[in-house]
Amino acid sequence: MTPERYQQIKVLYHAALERAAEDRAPFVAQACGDDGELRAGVESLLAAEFETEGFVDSGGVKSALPAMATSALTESELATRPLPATHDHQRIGPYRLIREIGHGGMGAVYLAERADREFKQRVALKLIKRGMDTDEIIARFRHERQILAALDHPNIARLLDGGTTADGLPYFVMEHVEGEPLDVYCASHNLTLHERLALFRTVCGAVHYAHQNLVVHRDLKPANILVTAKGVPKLLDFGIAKVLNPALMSDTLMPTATSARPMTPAYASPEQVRGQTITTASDVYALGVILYETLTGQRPYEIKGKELAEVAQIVCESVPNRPSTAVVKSTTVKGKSATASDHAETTRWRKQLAGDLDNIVLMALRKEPQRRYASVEQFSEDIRRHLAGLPVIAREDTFKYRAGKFVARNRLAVSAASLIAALLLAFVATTLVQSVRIKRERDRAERERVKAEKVSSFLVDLFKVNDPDATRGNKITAREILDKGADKIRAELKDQPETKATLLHTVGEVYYSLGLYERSAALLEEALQQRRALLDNQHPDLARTLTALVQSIFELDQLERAETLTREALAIRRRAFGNEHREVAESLNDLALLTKLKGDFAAAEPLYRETIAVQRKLSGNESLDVATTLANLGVLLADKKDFAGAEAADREALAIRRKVLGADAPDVALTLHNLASVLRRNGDYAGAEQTLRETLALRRKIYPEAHPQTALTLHNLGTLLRDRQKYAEAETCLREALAIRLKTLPTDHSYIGRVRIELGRVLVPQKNYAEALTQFNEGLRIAQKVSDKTYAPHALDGLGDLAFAQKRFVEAEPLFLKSYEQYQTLKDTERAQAVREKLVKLYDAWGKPEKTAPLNPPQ
Amino acid sequence: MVTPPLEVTRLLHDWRAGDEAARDQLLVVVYEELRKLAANYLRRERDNHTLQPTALVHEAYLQLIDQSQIGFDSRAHFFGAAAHLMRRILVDHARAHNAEKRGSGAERLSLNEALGVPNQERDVNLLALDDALHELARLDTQQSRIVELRFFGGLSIEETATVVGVSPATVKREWNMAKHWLNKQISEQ
Repeated sequence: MTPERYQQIKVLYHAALERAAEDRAPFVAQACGDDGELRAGVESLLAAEFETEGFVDSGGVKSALPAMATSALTESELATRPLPATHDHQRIGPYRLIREIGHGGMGAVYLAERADREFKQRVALKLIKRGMDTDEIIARFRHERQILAALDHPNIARLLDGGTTADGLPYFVMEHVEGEPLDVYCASHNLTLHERLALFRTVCGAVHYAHQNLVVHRDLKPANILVTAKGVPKLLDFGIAKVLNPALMSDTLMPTATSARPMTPAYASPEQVRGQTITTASDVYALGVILYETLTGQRPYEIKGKELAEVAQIVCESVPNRPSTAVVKSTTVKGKSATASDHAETTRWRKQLAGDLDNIVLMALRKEPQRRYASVEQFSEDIRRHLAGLPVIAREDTFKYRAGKFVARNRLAVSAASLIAALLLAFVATTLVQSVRIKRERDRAERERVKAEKVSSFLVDLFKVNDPDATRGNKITAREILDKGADKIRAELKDQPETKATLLHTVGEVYYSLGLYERSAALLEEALQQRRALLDNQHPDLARTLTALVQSIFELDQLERAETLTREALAIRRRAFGNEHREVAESLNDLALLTKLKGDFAAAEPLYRETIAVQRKLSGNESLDVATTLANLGVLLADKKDFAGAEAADREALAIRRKVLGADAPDVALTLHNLASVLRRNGDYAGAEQTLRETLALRRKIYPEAHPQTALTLHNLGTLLRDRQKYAEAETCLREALAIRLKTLPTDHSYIGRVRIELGRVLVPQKNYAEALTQFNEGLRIAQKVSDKTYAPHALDGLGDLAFAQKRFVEAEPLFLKSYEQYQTLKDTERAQAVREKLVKLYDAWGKPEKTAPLNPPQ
Repeated sequence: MVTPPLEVTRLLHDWRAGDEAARDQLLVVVYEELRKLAANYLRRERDNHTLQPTALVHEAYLQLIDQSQIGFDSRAHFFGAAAHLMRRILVDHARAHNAEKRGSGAERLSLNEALGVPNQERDVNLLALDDALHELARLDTQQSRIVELRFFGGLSIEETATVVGVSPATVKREWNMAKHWLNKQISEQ
């Protein structure tokens, strides 16, 4: 194969992976045309991909072990069988058998102790019966022994030894655990829901530990999890399933189909049933079944006594009941008859399961391995989050499909419910207030009142969906309510266009609050259309919808249209309310910002000033609205190089915010930060340094460690200190900024390149040339890679300084020339001039002053 | 050869700062340490063992480097260098071992876990892997480097990304493809 061919394969392979599984084959076929070799190359990689999809490869080298499972030697599945002849003398290897604990398809389990030791350690010895592929087992055992013996965890029963008996039968020796199987323990100790979850999380900890050590259990079930009298769970048989020969099957299974794999059917995942790859995700599934059983007293599927084909169909196709509906009487031992108080208990239990826990269990039980929890740790963490009252990752299955990307932002979903409630209240309140205000127009007032009632009852209806009684215990997220609400509004309010418009507007605003700008914009467009058709073109409601839509499309970067709509809204509001009105100020501020973003600074300033004037009249000199607009004005004036004006605006905003919000508010830090930039640009370096130090102290106080805002302040303080020749302290600041950036950003982010370049610039005057070189080169590489045009010349300039400082004139010259050229292209005359001065000095020191002449002064 | 952690740490710093001589010196020290650790390990475990080379690399790191002095970048670079050395040591060992007991097959290394191949119960012949990696280096240098770092150095995706100078997402993609390709290559040999 040639490298070119390999690259072709690579491109197609990655492109194919971007596509859905079913689209890949046609895509590859089409892309390769009649190049059969190329096609074979891509397809073989894709085939490998398909085989491994769903197993864990999350960053580290944790992956799954090869497939093979069997239910082996646990007491619950043992059937009576004659004992092997070997144990006639009650000795196996160095072990003396004490008594049989159980026996079954694979052989028998004995309590035993080492006969050749002074102090006798009791162990469980599993003797594999004759007829199994002994050599194969021994070979596998040798292979696995080190890994299994290395599993050292308080909740995993250790594998101690293994070997063959005198007549060639394999045996395993494990730590002997006295305890009850998990399910029995939970029932007999009458554990509460909380206790069960805690116990289960301990089990998860052990399984996760094994996964980190590259061991998949493959046969997790309550009978393999013994809980000691002290309440400590111990997992048995880790990795043993893999060691035992796959040709052997447990007796209860599969009497006919010889090709199928052995397993414990009740806990087997779809991939296990199908004989596909077994991975850590299979353990997640088995743990899901165990949790289901622990919480409900039922298994997710009824498969007892069924044939394998039927079992496979059930496990792979049917959807289990939600645990909250499956629960019968989980606090009582199976078989005991239920009393009235049991019944009340069961109802309470159900309520606790509904929602998060339902979703968590069902997520672990998903058919597709890759759609389950990515790891046992994540599974366990979700339970912890539920216990701590935090939002969980698990979502109802169908919902996730519909709202894929929203799932990650689960935190929002929680706040959304309260948000909707608040909006509902606000809506009813404002509508009623309005209806009072306009009661002179009686008809209209009556219409508004009726509309308000309709709207609120509609919203209340939506909330009823979230009432457990109406949904049989299935909790629904706020996002679902919204999606349902939007559909319902469209379908049911065809004949009530005014109400429909109001509701579309309201739901559109809620989507905006959730950060779902496209959904928001779509609904608000609909509302706008509706209102344009219904209302006269001077109606304040029309302006409200326009303003709400502007917010959403602003986030979607449709700035031109946003400006047009804002002008329309402003005109309507001025006509409806006069000049001194909150809504007029709102539109003015929007318009000022949009005008500024367009680059029209001259037109933006009077708009801001007018906004401030209106705000002052409406809410006094010390309102946060005034502070916000002042801060915006400050940024604008600084951009216009009116530094005195900017400083005045920033200082006033700062005073207001301190007074209203207190000295430790994030907005105070933000204002300080802006003020420092203005002071610096105005040449007041001492004032800027003082203000930046204040900003840094405040940000360190209010943000968690390693916060990007802190990094930004450190960066600015570092460069300022460099300008003030305080190099050592500048270096400390920049190194800390770099450390934070490296923690929070990808390695090649432009910010990281920038900090490195700035760091290089403080290292040169300190004569740390070697590191300066590394930092500049790395910074330059990143700046070029991400096209950070302003910082590339900084790096070249810095490299020039570095060479010049070491009197390497030949190297320094082209670096300065190139950075000079780039600054000129950027029209950064200030910096270009500075570089030009360096070139003059360079030529002077070099003894080639004649070279200075052709240098054009920067334009 | 006793080299105090601070000395090695300084070499690492100097190398990161662009001093190539420091790099060579560092590699000598690390190679010695790794070889010593590997020799101990290989002596201790006689037949049919499962090697965990990444454990050795980490052990060497703990012994040689003063952790309090080292940032994430330098750490990643150390492992980058060590990964390559580890590969050489293991391959050399496998060759010698093979020559010793001709016919008994090559050193067996449990690669399937590290390479993330779930469905094939198989030990990978170390020499076969080395050959395949050489071939991969010819076809795609970056991929072979990523495999070396991940497999022989035990570097995480993020650390690998730092050393190679690409994004973690790229490392993931390249590692994924390289894994499949190597497995195929080895199984066809």
